[in-house]
Amino acid sequence: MKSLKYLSLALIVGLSACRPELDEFSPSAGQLDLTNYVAVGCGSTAGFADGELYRSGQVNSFPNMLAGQFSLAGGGNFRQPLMTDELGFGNKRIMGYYTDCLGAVQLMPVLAGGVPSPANFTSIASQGPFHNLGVPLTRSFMVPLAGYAQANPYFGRFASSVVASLLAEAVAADPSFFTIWLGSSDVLGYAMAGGDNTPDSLTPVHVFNLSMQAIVGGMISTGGRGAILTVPDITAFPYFTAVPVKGLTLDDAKVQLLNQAYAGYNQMASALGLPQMQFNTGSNYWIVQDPDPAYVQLGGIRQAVAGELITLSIPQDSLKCGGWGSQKPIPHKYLIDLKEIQKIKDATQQYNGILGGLAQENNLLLIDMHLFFKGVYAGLVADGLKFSNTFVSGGFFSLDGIHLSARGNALVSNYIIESLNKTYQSRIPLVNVGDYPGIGFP
Amino acid sequence: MRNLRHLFCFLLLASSSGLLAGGFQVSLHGQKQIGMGSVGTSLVHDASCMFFNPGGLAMMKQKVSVSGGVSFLRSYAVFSKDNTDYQAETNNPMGTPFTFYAAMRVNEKLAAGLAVNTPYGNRLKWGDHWAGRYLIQDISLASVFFQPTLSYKIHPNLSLGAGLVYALGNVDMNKAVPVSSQGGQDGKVNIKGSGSSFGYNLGLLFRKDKLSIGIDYRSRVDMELDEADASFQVPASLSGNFPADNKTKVSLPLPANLDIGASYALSDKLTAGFSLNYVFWEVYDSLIFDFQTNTPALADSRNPREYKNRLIVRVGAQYAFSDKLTVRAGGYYDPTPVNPDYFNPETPSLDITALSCGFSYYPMEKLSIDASFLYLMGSEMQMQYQPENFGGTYKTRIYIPGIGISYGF
Repeated sequence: MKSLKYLSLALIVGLSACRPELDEFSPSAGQLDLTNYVAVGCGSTAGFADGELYRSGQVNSFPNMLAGQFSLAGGGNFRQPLMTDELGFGNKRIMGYYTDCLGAVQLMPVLAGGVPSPANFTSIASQGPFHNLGVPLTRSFMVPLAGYAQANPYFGRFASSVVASLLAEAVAADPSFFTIWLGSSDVLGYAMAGGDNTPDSLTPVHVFNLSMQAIVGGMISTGGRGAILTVPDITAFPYFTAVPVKGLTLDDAKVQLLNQAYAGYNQMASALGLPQMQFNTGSNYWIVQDPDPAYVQLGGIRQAVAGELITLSIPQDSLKCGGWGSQKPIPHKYLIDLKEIQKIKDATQQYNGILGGLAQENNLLLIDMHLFFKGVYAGLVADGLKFSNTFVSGGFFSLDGIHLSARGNALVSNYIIESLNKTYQSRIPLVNVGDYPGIGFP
Repeated sequence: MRNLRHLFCFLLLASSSGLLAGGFQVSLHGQKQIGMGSVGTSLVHDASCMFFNPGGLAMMKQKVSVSGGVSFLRSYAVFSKDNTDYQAETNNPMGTPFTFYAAMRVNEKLAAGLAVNTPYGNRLKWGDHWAGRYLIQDISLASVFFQPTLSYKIHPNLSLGAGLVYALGNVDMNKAVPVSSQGGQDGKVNIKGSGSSFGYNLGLLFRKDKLSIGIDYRSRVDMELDEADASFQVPASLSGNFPADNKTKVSLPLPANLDIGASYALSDKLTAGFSLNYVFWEVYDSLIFDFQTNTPALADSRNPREYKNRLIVRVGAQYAFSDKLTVRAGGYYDPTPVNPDYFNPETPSLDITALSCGFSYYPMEKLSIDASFLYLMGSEMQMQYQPENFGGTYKTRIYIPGIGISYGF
């Protein structure tokens, strides 16, 4: 009996000895103190995705992924103001079917439907303090703003008081390490609204500067270290690129009709020295509204030009069946013209200059998300998965065309971890991008 | 005919071996040879010489010789992903590559025989959910070579031989397709097919007194699968982009080998030898899937492999204790042919150091029971598959006991 025991023991030892082994990864924090990580930002920090803040999106937010990896290198608890379900406030989109005005069934993002839990609308402040202080739609100047909780229900549901500012909450969480990713919303609101002549505007650069100084000053006041993330080029987000500006498809008959219809326009345009409408078989630029005084005599319309952007919010049925973009101009609020694009890019560049200066002055790490996103736009591969800024199939952005998908968050997390490891001699393991869900198809 | 096909299928399945040696070449061609580090080019034990050198057959001392054997291959590969705490290991089914050789001397100068063996194969299972699943989940690659052989002694010291190779191959692989269902399930593609092809094996053996020198060239064999099944499982809304019952053309070149070997009888009892085995791996430049139906999401794919030609150095010796017992030992070094930038975990081929031993026991003069044990150590190496940006450190271990029987008179 005893010999049998030894024999089986020998067998187990012998068999396990068969398996080759590799050294385990040994994580370390290097010069970082990761015990209390606090994230400040807008929707991308919050885990907002697919047009809504919902539970699994929050779980797959990059700050939560970072905290998970940090926990292997001395990181502590990371509390998020989680929604109770997958519907949040009810605006979540999923891939589904939509029958368009032509009767064709389209596979596209549609409202998820369902009734969100009332618990999503009640305060969870008592569960705080929270470490993820990402709040959707937050612009730089809103962070130090007392009473912001009353203006933004995503903050209101977890703010410790109605007068508390987001910054005060973040400072109260006593960060030993923090990330600040702000500035995208400061340009996005303007861009999504359609640029000039809309109720929205870009955050003025001096306002951004003052706000960021206050935010950075607050965040370092507890003696922690942190990273500032720069603002990506939002004009390449799928929200602005999914609908092609040269999307008016014409056959010979339609070309003829439009040439006749716009013959008068072209005469006038030529007299005024403005570009004429051009229609060719195949793809053409849409006809759009332009409130610029130059076009007043032309009825305030013109043909779009290369480089201009159409927002994803444009009603597709109006394009397909309503004559938008051909018989009628596309309303200006769906168009971002070249001037507006330049304003967005200029603001982004100036914001990033400010962020760079602040990082340098305060000895914080600047993480160049502008550069990283540029890489995504050019196409990026990780673990056999291909990413780009193509709407839906690009995989990096979620179904709202603005915020990150779960795998997009994983890529961002890895970029941040790589930057930290390089700068602070830490050994924080990267995440496996494929561990996070891809965009789901029915 | 149908039964014959079933038999082939069975043979193919049974023979798919684990990840082995350089690339997907499996150097298990006879229990006696395995025992000596697969030194075989200059040695004529019996009919089993036909693979390493058909030229040796006319020098065979037996008039009739039949030899067969099977190896039991257990392989393990481990992987540690770059800059993560992620590790994975394969759970490979046991492979059983086999050999069968039969030959007879027609007259003093001419000998004829048939060799059946499994020179290429790969059987690997990383699992459905591992981090590299979009590159490979599991693969079973098998081949059986049938080689009728003639050998002629043109001079008392020199014989040559030639074999025509008829090769049957099959492949069955699964990988995840990066489209998810709403339940979070990956898509999947299974590629499965079989093909056949021809090749040849030419050898020359020179033997004078105690010295033997052999040269052998085994041609490249192109395993062309013209109509392999490419079955996609994807969410219903994407089925138009990934036709469920697609077909694909895929071609896998099995590389040519040039062997030069020599052995010397140091005494009546002790023989030692070496061989230099040059493998023309460069033919494996890329793995191309040419789908019958292409869609915007499913283009033909050209996957670079860019293998490099490699020289395997083998040494081995055998010692006859008595009429009843001969023991053997050997080893070889087989550097990986894989380009470190195009290292795909479907073939985790590393620099391999191999050690082997074996024996033949003769219960009677005409019969031997041959056994061998081969141990392969795949060095720890950091490798990348750049096109998919997937890399890490790999290490392999392979254990191959084998047994066979030879009868000759």
